Amino acid sequence: MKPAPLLLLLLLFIGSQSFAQALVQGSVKDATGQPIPGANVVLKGAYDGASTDATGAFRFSTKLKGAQTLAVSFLGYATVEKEINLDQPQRSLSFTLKPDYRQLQAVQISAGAFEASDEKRAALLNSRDIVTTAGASADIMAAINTLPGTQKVGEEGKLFVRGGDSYEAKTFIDGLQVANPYTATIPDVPSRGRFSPFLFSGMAFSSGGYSAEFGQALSSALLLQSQDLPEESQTGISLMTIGGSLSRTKRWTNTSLAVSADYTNLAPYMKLVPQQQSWQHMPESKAGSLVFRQKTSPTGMLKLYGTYASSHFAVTQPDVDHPENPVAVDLRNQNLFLNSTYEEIFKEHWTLQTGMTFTHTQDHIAAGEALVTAHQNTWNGKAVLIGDIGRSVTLRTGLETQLRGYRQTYLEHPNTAAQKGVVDEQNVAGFAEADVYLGDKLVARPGLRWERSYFLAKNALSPRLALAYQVGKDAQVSFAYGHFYQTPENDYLKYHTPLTFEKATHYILNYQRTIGKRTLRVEGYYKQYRHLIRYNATNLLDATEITNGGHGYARGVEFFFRDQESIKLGDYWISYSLLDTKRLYKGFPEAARPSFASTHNLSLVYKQMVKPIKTYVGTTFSYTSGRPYHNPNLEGFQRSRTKHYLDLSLSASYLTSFKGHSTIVHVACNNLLGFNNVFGYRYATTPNAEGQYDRQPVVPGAKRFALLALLISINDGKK
Amino acid sequence: MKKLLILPFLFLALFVNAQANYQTALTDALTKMKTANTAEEMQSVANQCSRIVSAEPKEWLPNYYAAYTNITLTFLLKDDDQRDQVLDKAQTFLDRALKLQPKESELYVLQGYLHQARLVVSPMMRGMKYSGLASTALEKAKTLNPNNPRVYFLLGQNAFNTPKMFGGGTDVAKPILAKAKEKYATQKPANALLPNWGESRALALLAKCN
Repeated sequence: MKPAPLLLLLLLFIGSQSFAQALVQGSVKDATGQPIPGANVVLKGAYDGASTDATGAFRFSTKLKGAQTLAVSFLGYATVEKEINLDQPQRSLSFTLKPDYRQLQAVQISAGAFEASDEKRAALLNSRDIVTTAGASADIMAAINTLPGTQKVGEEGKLFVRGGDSYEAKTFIDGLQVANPYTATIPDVPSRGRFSPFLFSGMAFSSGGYSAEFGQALSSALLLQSQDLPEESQTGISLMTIGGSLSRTKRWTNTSLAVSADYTNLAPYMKLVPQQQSWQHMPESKAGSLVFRQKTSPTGMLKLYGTYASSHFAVTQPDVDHPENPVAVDLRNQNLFLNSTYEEIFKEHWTLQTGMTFTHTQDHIAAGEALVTAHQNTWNGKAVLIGDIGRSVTLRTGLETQLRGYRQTYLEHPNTAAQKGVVDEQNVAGFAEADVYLGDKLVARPGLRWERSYFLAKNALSPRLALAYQVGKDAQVSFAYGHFYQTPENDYLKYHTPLTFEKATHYILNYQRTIGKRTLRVEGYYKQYRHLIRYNATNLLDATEITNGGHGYARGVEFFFRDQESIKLGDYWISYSLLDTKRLYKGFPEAARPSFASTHNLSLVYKQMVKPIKTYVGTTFSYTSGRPYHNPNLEGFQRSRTKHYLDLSLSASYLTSFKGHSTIVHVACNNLLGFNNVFGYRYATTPNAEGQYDRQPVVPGAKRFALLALLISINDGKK
Repeated sequence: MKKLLILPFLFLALFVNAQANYQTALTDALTKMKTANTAEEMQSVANQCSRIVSAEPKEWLPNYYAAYTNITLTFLLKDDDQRDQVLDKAQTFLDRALKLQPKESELYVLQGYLHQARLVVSPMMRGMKYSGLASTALEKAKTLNPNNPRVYFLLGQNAFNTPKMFGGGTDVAKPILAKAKEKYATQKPANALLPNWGESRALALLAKCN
């Protein structure tokens, strides 16, 4: 007998069949002793294994021998491994899995923050909500104004948050501060946000207590997250009663390029609808933009965005001191904004985000005989590193710098000497913060931010802290605290008097409960202001001294309720803000409530898809209690109140197709019921013959504003 | 000397053995998959597939089925956060499979299917984005293999679930699903391990178009 075939046969036999089978069995539980069904139990590198049953038990047999590694894994839990020796008889094994808190994200910091995202369902609003909010006219800032924490200031159109002035609210695109988020304007002509909501996939509005990543904002941070690669190539056409735009998007596998041109001219509309102001040149703007995206690797993304806009308007404004002599105001603005960011993930756990922006803005204002020209160049650079450390810590750390050059020339009269204002500022900042999950119910976010202003020659150190604790199944309580610093505005810096950072301290307590698609939020806060800018005259131009001697406080309670469940294809939210604030700042003779700070703000937003007529309708009701103003005919300062502000706006979008292309016909009307709203009063500087100060009301340009738009998108894929 | 000649045979035997192991293991998983009706059963099959993946990291089919079973699992789960997490997991298996077999039409079909599963989690918010992503992936699958019946099934399903005003509806879906029916009838997989799902669902959907 030849031994070789026999040996082969034997080996084959051993290789496939004859190993003695070892039995592996045991159970898998979580930290509280509850069984985990569906967990995967596997001998590493082999097929052998099993899933746990409803009681968390597992049992399988294997032909493997010797020392092996048994791994137990389940989604949301950290994988556990154990060395076992299969040559010895196996006892029942017991495993306890610990939650991977970062992966579970059961509890999230919500104090002060409102998130809007297309991706996260937990978000309270998404970018489509912005576009469909009636009365907002697709303006991000106006839609944000229906959220708690904001005060409506109709003649400005900007964000005013929790008793803070508009300059205290900053806008960031992909983490980088935007130097000029609003269109250029003059007093009593409201401005709009410069950026279309369609550029962004997510938004977060924070009315206080925000991350150490963001500085140079006393009151609020509006964070806009730009879109990644567009889904498909398309051509977009929009025609509106106030202008039109044309865009072309081309998508390649890993690259996209989009160009657009916009033209806005209010002349045809304003000629049709009588206006309060007497316009010499109705608002007109021309803009162009370019968006480039390059996926540099499966996890890397390079984004470039550039936009240039040129706007012009001229209006004759009444002068309360010289009613016979109205003032002609002419404003021209050019704005260039370039933004580039690059993001990449390294070794799965580290994310690097870098970015740079450049803004050039130039204003040319002629008011009567006075002439003001100003231009500013702003550079921002930022690098942030985000890393996961262990199972329960996420670290964010970064550096940023801003360079700003501001030049202003003021001529009171063509024959007077020019007054020049020059500000060259450099700001450098560094920050670090960590999300620390302390068990599955508590997360803490301590952070620290340091910044230095070279112009002020001052340093500031801001500690920040946020906590969130889960109470019950659907509810959580959050707390946020922090110091916030901001360099004074160019208007004050240009006098080159020694100044320091303005400062605010926030304390916020928040309760949030979400059941299904219903969310209730209640938030209370206290905000303390120090070192606010103060000067010794009513008007800055008459002042001889500018200091950081101002101070103030703001406190309030806010409610928000949103329900996307009770009404089929319908959605509504109610937000209410109660505000108590006083401040001593600018030319105030005593601490008082500023004109922008109304006590009560209520918004009711309702949207409904009406399927039979393929129309999405929205309505927004806003109420703002009387705003303070100063009446020099009466005792005291800022003691008078305007009557309340009311608005009911309506919008409807009819979704259809035109020659096979998705088409939307949109109609909208603000202040449908025609309430006579007054924003405030402007008083004469000198009394009239009867010893009374005359006044003029500050009112909207027209009672109502109506818009008709046609939006067509032509997808390359569809024929 | 003669004994040394045995060695190659020995290795060959072990190799054949391993191949057979992988096929047996996968066949077993696929049999269980066909009868899995609950989240627990599907989870168990998904686990089994992922065990085959860790033992055979260089094969694309185990990764394919690990992704497929996890996607199918999400239709049986109720918690939206959990569904998203399972889809994240499915995507990692699919990414690995795509690295191993970048020109495989079936993998782009599965990518389209995964995007559709994302859409199902929150149709109101995700409808626009994910139906676009799904059709991009499916078009790619179509260019790689115009005879793949699952391409037409999922494209038809996409059209079926897209409202008429956004260019969908039964009228649009019907011819695509009819094409799926035709491809399912003529195109049979070369072996039992290759993807072979969707026919009954495509036919059911086609019946609804009439």
